[in-house]
Amino acid sequence: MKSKIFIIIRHEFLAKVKSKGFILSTFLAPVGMMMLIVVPIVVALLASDTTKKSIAIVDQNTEVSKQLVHSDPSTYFNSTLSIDSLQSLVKESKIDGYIVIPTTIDSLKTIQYFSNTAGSLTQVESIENSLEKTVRNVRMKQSGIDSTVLKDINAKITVDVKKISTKGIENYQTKELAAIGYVAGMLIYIMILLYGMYVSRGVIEEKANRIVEVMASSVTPFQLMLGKIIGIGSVGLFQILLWISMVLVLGIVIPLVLALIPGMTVTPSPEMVSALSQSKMQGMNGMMGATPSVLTPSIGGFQIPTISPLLVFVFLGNFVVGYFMYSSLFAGVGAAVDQESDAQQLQGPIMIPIIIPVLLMMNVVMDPNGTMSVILSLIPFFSPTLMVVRVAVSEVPVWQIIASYVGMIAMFFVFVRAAAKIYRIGILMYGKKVTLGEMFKWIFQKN
Amino acid sequence: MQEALITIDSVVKKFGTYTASNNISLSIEKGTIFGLLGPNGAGKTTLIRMITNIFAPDSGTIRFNNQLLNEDDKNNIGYLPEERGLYRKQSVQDQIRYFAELKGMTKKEAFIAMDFWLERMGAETWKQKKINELSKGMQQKVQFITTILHNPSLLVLDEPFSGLDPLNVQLFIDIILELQQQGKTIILSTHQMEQVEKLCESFALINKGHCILKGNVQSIKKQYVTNSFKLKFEGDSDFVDTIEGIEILGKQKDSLIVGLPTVEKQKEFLVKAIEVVEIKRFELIEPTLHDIFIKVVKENEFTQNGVTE
Repeated sequence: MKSKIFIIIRHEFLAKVKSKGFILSTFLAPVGMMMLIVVPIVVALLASDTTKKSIAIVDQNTEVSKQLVHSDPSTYFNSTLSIDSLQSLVKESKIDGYIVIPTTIDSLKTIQYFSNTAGSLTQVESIENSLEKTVRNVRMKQSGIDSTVLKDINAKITVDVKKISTKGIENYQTKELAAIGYVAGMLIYIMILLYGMYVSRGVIEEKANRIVEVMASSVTPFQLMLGKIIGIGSVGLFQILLWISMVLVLGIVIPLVLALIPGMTVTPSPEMVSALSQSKMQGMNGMMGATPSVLTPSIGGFQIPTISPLLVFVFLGNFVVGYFMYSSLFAGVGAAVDQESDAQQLQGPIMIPIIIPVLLMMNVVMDPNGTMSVILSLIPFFSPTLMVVRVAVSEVPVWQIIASYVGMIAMFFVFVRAAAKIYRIGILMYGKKVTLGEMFKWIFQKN
Repeated sequence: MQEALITIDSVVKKFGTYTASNNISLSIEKGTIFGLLGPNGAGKTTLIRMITNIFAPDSGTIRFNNQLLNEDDKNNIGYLPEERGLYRKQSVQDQIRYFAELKGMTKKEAFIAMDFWLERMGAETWKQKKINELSKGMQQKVQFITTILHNPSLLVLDEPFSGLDPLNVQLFIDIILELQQQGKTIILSTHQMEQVEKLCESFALINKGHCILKGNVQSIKKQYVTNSFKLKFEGDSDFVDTIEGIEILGKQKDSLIVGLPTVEKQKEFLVKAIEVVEIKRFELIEPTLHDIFIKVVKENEFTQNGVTE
C-alpha cells in the first residue's frame, strides 16, 4: 500500500506549487530583493542631485573661496555682488543661499549661512564639512606646510583585512561577508516565518472547511499533520533551490553577456576574467563544482564575495530543521482555533523566539565568534537564523554546527509531540476559544 | 439472526468532565440500514467518530467484522459527515482522486469508479469544475461520491439528505438501497424520522450520551402502540363529553382523537357516536417514530432530572 502520508505530502506540494501565489513569489521575491538593494542607491543618487545647492560665496579672503569652489564647483560659486542684491536673489529663490567669509580666518569658529529655507541637517553638515576641510587646509598652508606634505597628511587609510587559513593568506571581505550574513539570516527568518504561517493557515482552512473530519476518517491525525508539514516544507525548499539556481544562472550569464558586448564601459577586471573562465569550466563540470569561488564581479566597488558550499549547506539545513521545529507549533496553533483571526494571539508566543534573533543579528554579524554570539547561536530557538549568520561571516567550529543541529532536532521532537496532541484534540473541536493554558493541559493530558 | 458487522460494547467517551458517550452498547447487523437517532448534542457525532475510528473510546470496545476496530478498517468505511468539507479551490476530479487515494485506491481504480458515479449522478461534465463553482446540492453529490467511491463495506451517513431537492433525495435513497442490496451496511443518522421509518430495519435512540432505546423499528412501534383512536365524522361532537372515563386528546370540527383504555370503552364510544354523528372513519393511531422519539426523550429527561435533583 502506498503510504498515505506520501499522498498527503504530494497533494500539499502540488496544490501549493501550482498556485499563482507560489509562481509570483518565486519570481518577484528576487526582484524585490534587488529593489531593496538598488532603490536606496538610486534614491541616494537622485536625492544628492536634486538637493544640489547654488551657494554664493562672498569672500574677503580669496584663498578660502578659491579652494571651496574648487572642492565642489557645482555648489559654490564666487560672487562679487552686494549683500543686498544677494539677499534679494535668495528671496526670489534664484540662489539657495550665501556665505560671507571674513578676511582673517585665524580664530574663525562660526560662519553664517543665509538661506530662504532653514536648510536640512545634511545640507548644513555638508557645508560644515567642506568649510572645515578648506579652512584647515588654508590654515596649514598659511603656517608654512608644503602642499605635498599636506596631501600626505590628508591621505585616507583603509584597512585591508587578510585571513590566514590553511589555504594561505586570503582576502577577507569583511563588509561583503557581513552583508551576505545579514541577507542569509533575514532570508532564513522570513522563510521560516512565512512557511510556518502557511502551515497554520492550511490547518485552519481544513478545519474551517470541515475537510478535516473526512480526512480523519481516512488517516490518523498525526499522518495528516506531518503530511501537511512535510508537504509545505518541501515547497519552501523547492523555492529556495529555484532561487539558488537562478543566482547561479544569472551569475554565469551576466558576466558572459558583459564580456561579449564590445565597448562596454564596464571593463572586466582581471579577477573577473579569471572567474569567468572558471565559471565556464564549472559549467562544463556540472554547475555545482567543487571549487566554490563562483564569481567575483565588482559592481560599484562592491565585490560579491565567494559563497562557500558550507554556507549553502548550512542555509538549506537550517531552513529544513528550523522550519520543522517551528511549523509543528504553527500546526498546533492552527488546530486550536476556528478561524485565522483567532490564531494571531496564539501565534504570538511562537513568533517571539523567531523574531528575537533578527534583533540580535547585527551584534552577531559584528562579533561572530564572541562568547555571546556562540551561546545565542547554540540556543535551538535562535540557531536557525544566527548559526547561518555566523557561518556566513566567519569560520565556525564544526562541533558548534553539529551541536546546533542536535539541539534543533531534539527541540523538534519535543515540539512535534506536543503539537500532535494539541492537533489531535483541536481539529475536531469547534466553537470554543482555546487558551494557551488549555493547550498546555492537552499536551500533558494522558492519551 | 444475521452476523453483526459492528459490535459496540460498553463504550464510554469523556471530554473533560462531560460524558459524550455513557456506556453505550449496540450491535449493527451486516447488510442492514441502521438508524441513529437523537436530539442535537445527544452524542451521536461522538459515537459516529468512534465507529469511524477518528478517535478511540476511553473504555469499552468496538468490533468491526469481529475484530477490534483498527486503522486499516478506515479503508473499509465511508463517512459522510454532517458538516460537508471539500477543498474549495480544487477541481472535482482532483478532489475525488485525493480522497480515493487516501482510502487506499490507486489512481486508475479511482478514475474508473469516479466515471461510473459521476455518470450515475448526472455529473459527467463537472470533472474539471472547481468545487466553489458548484451549487450546494452539487457539492453534496461530490461529497457523497467521495464517501462511496472506494466501495466500503460500511457507510456512515450523517444527515445525507439535508439541502437536497426531492428529486435528488430520491436519487440518494435509490443508491443507498442499491448499496444495501449489494450487502453493504449503512448507518443513517438523521432527524428525518420518515426516512428512518421507510429505510431502516433497526435503530438506536441516543440522548445525553445514553442509548435510551434500541431495536427493530417494527417491534418497537408495536411496543409503543397506544389506545388512541381517531374518529372522522360529520355532525356535532359534543356527545363525547357525556362519556365518562375516556380521554379527549384532540378535538376538531370533523375529527376527534380519544384515548380509549378498554375494549368496553371503545364499544361505548362507538355506540354513542353512531347515534349522533355520521362516521367516516374510525382507526387505531399507530405511533410514528417521531412520536416515540419525543415521548422517550421527554420521559428520559424527566427521570434524569428526577435523579439529579
